[in-house]
Amino acid sequence: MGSDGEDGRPRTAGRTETTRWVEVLRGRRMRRVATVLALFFVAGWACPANAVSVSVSEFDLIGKPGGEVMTSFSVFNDDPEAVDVQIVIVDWDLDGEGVTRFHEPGTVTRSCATWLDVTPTSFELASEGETEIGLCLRIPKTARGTFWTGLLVRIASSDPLRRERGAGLQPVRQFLVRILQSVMPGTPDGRVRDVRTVGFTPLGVTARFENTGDAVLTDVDGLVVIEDRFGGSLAEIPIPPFDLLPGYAVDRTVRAEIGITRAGAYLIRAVFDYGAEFLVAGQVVLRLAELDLTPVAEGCGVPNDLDGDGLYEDVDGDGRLDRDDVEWLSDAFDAPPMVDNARVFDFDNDGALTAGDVDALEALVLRGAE
Amino acid sequence: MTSHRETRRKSIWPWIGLLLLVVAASTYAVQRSVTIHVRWKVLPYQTLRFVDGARADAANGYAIPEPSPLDLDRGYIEDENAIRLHVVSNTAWKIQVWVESDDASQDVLIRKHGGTYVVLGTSPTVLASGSHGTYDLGVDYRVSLDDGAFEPSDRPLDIVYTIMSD
Repeated sequence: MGSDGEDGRPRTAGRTETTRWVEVLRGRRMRRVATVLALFFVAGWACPANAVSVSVSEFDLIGKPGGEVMTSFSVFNDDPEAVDVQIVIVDWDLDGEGVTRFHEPGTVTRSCATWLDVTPTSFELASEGETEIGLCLRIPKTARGTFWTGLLVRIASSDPLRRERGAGLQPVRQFLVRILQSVMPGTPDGRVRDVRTVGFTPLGVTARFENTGDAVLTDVDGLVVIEDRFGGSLAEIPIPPFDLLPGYAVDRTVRAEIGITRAGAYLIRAVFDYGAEFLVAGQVVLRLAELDLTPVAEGCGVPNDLDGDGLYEDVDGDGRLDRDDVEWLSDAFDAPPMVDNARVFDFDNDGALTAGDVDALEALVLRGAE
Repeated sequence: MTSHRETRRKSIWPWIGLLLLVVAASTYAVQRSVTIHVRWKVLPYQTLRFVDGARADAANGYAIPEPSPLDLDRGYIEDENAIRLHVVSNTAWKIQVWVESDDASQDVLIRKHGGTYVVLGTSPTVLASGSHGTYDLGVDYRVSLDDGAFEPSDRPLDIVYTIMSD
């Protein structure tokens, strides 16, 4: 997450309004120069088409209860024509699939939309032009922790005739500028809510981590450790860093380089570090029973693992991998010999015996034929 | 001989004194020194460009072509790289798409070139994502030709591409 510059910090109560605005404008000037330089160096190429940029896509602001936070960002237009820019305050959150959902302002539990003033909210931006958008957040005295809202910056042609001439599918550009306002002191806290396996070849582990505090947790990272029953470490898989809003949970799935197919008891532990003085962990014991393989149907042999990878590709037990195995898998899908030994027929490694396993076995047969 | 040795002893004392002075001054300077930690954070920013495709003028939109016999037979028009997006971001990003009109529900499908088609609806769906850097993405459209399907020739259908930090 980004961080605001010096003008994003709370102001002391004794300063006059004029002095504060002078400071803000100085900060804006510095930021504008820095942003233009950054855009110039990073995005410095010949541009044959529409191009609009926002100088800040996410604010991570810090303030005190009862204080004010002032900051700004810029919208640039290097389109050959002028554009209309409209800025709307929205609430947003994330669903379980990582899709950002938009809501009416002030409707999300920890929304700070009602604290926010934005100026201007609608303007025409000339070609090669730039406009600075001022933000002012007035923090209530009772607020603690992290609150958030967002700005949708919508870009449209400023030529009304162009809209009428347009037909077909009209692309509309829009930017979401996320605003996270942390009010000190916040209470960071987290819990591991669930640890479960997702497939065994290779072993996949999904850990659910929840932010139970009132502050956004940034750069949370973790580790999944797999041990045998005697405490010997079989694998350690790092969990890449992520950020998490208060009140939300996230599933993180990692995969080991090894598969676990031998019967036995295994300890799977997920440890998360969210920057507190202690780590939080959750664990689950995985018990794999001995395989009890029998022919999937009359006339078939016992299924075989042809390549020793822990998956029993030779479903009909004839010593070969061919289309018959795919058909037997499809036909005997819910037969007890399959269900009781599901882990060795989980060809798509999703942790369940599904139609996807038939497709995955078919893909193996096709690859073998090549 | 003795006097010469004494002279040498006497001449060494100023040097020892000077050395002590330098050591003392250095120690004092170290004690008086101030360590300044300078923290430098680059603000996340993003650029989104529409680049003209074969039938797409970035400003005027995508003109749906006349259906070919193949299109009529299969019931839809498919156009790969109908429009191209140019993304610059110094942080992880994603683009979500949706339409603001229910008229087109089920009639227009969209995907990042080479990906899986999704129905373009009024709920946002993630079209593409990436880490920091510069990206050039093709977008494919599939438009239904079924009877009663949305006819974009009547009026343009706005497809909202929203870029944000991920």
